[in-house]
Amino acid sequence: MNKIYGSPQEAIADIKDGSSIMIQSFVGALGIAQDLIAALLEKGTKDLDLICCANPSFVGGTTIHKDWKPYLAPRDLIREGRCKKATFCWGKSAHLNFPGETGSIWDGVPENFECEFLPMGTLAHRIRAAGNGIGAFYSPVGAGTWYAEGKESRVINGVEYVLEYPLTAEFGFIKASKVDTFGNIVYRRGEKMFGPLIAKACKTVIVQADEIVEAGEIEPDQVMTPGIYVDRIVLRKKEDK
Amino acid sequence: MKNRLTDDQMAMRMAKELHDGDVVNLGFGIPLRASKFIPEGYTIQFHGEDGVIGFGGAYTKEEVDQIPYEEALGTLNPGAQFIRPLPGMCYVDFAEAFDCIRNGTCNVTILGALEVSETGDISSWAPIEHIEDVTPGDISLGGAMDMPVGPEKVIIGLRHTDKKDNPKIVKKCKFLLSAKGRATKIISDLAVIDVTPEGLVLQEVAPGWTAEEVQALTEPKLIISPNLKEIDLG
Repeated sequence: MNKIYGSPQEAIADIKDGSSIMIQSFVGALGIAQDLIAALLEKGTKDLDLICCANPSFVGGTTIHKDWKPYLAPRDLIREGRCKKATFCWGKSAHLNFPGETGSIWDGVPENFECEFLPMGTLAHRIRAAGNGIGAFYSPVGAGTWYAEGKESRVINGVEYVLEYPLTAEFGFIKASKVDTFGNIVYRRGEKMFGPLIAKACKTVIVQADEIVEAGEIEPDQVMTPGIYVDRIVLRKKEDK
Repeated sequence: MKNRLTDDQMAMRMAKELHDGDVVNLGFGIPLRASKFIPEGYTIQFHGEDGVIGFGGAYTKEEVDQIPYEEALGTLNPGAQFIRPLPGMCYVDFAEAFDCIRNGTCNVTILGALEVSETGDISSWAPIEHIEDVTPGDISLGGAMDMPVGPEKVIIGLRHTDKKDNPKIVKKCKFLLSAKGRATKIISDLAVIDVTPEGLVLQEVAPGWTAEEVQALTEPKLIISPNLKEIDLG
């Protein structure tokens, strides 16, 4: 068993046109596997079915730091016209441009580009449901509102719920601080985000690690995502932030 | 013209809803300012939908520049502000971040809104007929639909009227709903109103305002509390 790949290019080599992919991201550059996104952009893969939280949103807050610089994010796959569908919870164009950028990331999307918007908690819980092997679940979020139109609703114990289906993908991208050779993950602070959920929901899980250590170097009770869920590990390029 | 509450005064009044030991999610804008007015000695843990629980206030640029960028990035609030870690803080994944909301562990949320109805409906987005016109992605759901579902107290902070003095507290919301029947209290720049099964109960009015004047700027009929008082800004 060898999960360590020599380059991000090798780790993503079998992602084909039309593949579904889940990418961890939320605010700022935190937790984004930028090397994997770069390799995917370079490879030219298109018609991707992208699932992510933000693309990212609210970059503004983090730009106050003197060392801030633009970074790759799931939004770049949309901007480069590589996605046929995107499922996410933040979409306002205003949040998706870095300072000084003009135009909209939606300018280059294919004609039949499809967007599905989800409440953030529902997105997380749908991904979790996939990882839990659940067929569908009733969620109270958005019940009785425009969001629930066309969805199956049900009143349980006097509360209205909406039927939500699991969200899965063929590939999942995670970025983590420390990963051992078995794929056991330790996230640093807020980078945990979708990592533990993506790891369980996706068929092939690829982790970009800041540091790869030998199996046994992470205390077993400190493991946050068990290595059994992780298929491929790539050491990040040094220049990334 | 009579004075309405300033943003800070609204935030101050919102802070009076928070108690020692509460787990609180504050929406951006005026609700977030409520964190500045927490009484000394209270331990209130702020919950972020990005999975950070028990975080402190945002760093200024001068402060955050002293911290290496990559290290600072680890601790962001949901608005991507660099925040001060506090003792007792912890991180959870996104599913668990919303479990805390859904199961009511996060017991108070204070949110902004475009409108709130007499039955506690909350609306956060522009009218649905406009959705067809926007570029894909213009609707940002974020956590707005999630937050009102679970906490015991769902407090809506908003200006009482729009710029043309049209009421934002209405019989039925015109705008897109983020939640149906979930608001429990309204704090505006004119009044504090409880949302009850009987209807909206006017509990407090801004200093110098009468119940009749507040009613005139509110679409649904208000029930006047027998204990009606002025908002305490002390």
